Amino acid sequence: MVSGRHCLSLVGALLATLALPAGARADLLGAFGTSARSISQAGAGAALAEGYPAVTSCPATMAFGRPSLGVSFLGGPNRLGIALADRPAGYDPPALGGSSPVVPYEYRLRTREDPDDPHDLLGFLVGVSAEPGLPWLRLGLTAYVPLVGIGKQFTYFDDEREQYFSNTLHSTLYDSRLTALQFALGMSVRVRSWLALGAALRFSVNSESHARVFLPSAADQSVQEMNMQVTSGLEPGAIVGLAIRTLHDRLHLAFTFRDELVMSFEGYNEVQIKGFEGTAQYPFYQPMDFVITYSPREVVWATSLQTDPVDLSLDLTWSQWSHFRDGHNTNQDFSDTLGVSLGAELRTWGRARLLGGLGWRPSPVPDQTGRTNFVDNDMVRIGLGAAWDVDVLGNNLELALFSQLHLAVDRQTVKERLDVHPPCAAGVMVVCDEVPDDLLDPYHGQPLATASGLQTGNPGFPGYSSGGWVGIAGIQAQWRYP
Amino acid sequence: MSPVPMAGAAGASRRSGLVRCRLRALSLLVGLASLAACGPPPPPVGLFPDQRAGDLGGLDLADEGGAGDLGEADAATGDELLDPRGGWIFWRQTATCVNVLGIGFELLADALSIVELEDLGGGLVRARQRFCQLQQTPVLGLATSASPSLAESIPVADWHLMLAGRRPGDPFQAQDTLEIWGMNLGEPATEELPTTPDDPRVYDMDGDGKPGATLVLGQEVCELYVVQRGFVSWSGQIASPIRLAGGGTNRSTQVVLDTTSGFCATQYDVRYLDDRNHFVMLRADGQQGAPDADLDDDGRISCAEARAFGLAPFSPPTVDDSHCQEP
Repeated sequence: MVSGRHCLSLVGALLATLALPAGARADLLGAFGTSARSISQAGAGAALAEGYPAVTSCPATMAFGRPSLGVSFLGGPNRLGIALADRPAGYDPPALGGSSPVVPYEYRLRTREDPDDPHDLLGFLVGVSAEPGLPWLRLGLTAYVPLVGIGKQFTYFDDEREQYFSNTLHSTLYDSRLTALQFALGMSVRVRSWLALGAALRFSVNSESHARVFLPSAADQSVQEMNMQVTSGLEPGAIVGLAIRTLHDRLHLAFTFRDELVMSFEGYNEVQIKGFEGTAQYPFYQPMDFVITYSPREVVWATSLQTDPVDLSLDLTWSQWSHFRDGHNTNQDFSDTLGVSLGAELRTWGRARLLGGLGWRPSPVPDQTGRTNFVDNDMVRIGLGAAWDVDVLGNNLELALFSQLHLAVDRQTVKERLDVHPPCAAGVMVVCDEVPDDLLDPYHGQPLATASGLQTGNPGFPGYSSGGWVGIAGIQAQWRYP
Repeated sequence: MSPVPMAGAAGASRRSGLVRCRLRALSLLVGLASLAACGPPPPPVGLFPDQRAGDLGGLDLADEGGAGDLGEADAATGDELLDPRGGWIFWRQTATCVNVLGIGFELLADALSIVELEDLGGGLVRARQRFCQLQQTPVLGLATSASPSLAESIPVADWHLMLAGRRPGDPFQAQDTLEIWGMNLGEPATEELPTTPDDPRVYDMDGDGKPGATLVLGQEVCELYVVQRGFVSWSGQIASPIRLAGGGTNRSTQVVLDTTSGFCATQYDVRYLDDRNHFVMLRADGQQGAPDADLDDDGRISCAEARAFGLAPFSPPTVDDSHCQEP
């Protein structure tokens, strides 16, 4: 039965979580794990989760264990990198005066170069679960609060348009996703002694912007009067789970479904320009439709076998990346993936345990030989950790050290060369020509030499490589109470 | 064997296993630590060889001369006197500066027309001019374009040239002319211009069902329906028996009667660049060694033939924004 103090802490934590600023995304826990146990086992062990860590891994398993309250501090370097291949000569969009269909390449605001290292990771994970007076019911919540990069909301174009912005490439799935605040709350019901069901909600923050702009002079658009109107709301994503314990509690099975979760930013600018009054363009609207992060729909099948002295776990994760939407809310042709994690928990000396794991996360991003430049690698996951149980006032306090490393399998991307590259247009998937060959000199009516062949400022042209690693390590204290 | 050595052997074996285990753990840690230096692999070498302009054909503007060059068509020089009778093609380029965001951009407006010259004697030459093509260079990627039917619908203009001589280098003066688009004015030079499409003086000049003359901004961003009055004055010298070249002014007042979008209603500051204007008439009827634009040999140059003749024989200069930027 939950105490009044526990109820208060649960409500307080819930309110504190809801009051956190925008930026909720649900991927650091998905990428590494939800607790010291799962992180140390390379993401495996969802079937063994108890207490608050189960809220996002498999809420059903929460009902089998004791309620808990815990906090983890974690951090680590992100050394995933991208190296751009040198551009060959003669492919820059040329300066053709007023006839240039694109801004000449010499006027790019930023030089094309390898991107800076992404943000390192630093944050803390807090969680609580409680038994609200019914021994078969558990409530819980968990939140990851980043201390670096919180609130980062960046989008990029994935093709030649990015030359006008950062003019480089970015890790598609391992950049800002790992530095996002996230939280979830859930409940679990033990239906039978061997069967439990659970459900949870994780949240993303969706923002809507209606900026209002007035330009007193169309001839000097650097002067504008503007009001910002941004509203934010929570968008829930469902998690449901089913857990079974059999063979005298030695075999644990857990099935989890996580719906997709999208952090979006949409709206429009309403623009009035003096001189347009009385026309259909007074005002006109500039729509915005961004996807800041996208977490795919996932199905996880987790199995754990408890033996003496080792518990073995196998987790399979199917991720529906084929529904992926990029930063400008366009579906991309990614592949669904099946990841696997193997973990072991070895009871060693006294109440100490050693944990380790190995996993494989295949990349959903196909070879980028054409127009787009998504960057992602297959990942080898290596986990390592240790835990100690200590009795405090008759309750169990678990102290744990954990770490996990994602090693990127080196990947080289080389753009495909064609006899003729088509002009850039919607639907063109190959490297496209920004200065079409049939462009005519307006005076002479003849094709231009500088327009012949391929001209592109695509930052991924003619190729790039990606690799490196990202790792986290930390310490966790979890108090399990009756 | 005594049990003691056995126990010792077992202990040694366990210690040996422990040492191996520690060595493996150490090597794993060293291996992991070495990853700290890991980054992406070297970038690949692409499949695209260096490319040089001109290798794949096309016109290299760097090889092109400006309006001051005498083209191949002007090769006929010497002691021949000008005999103006016949068919000529008249190219006129007027330059202005358009100010956007405080930055000046040069805008070049080209007009191509057919001129039939008749020698009236005494240095007086009568000209009958028919417009065939109007075009402008883009500013900020947007150009205002006029259809061929608009150009051809501009009323035929009759005016005179006064020649001071007939040898190369002799000056001439063209009569000032008025160009009126899309309206009938009782007093063409002085009357106030209509401002609304329902003004009875406005008519559908280009026959597209819209009032006045229709101009199109960009790739059909929007349409403007305008009336326009221009005062054109020019003079020059006989460059050769088949070429008259000079400069002058073109002052136009344009009233936008209506638009399909507010983007076409935007007005910008404009400044004339008269020093950059070019007026060139080139004989094009094949006489006196001149090029022959009369492709169908029907004895007259049509607008289609004039457009096929194009601007290239005039070697027009291209946009140079430096003329519009403050020192």
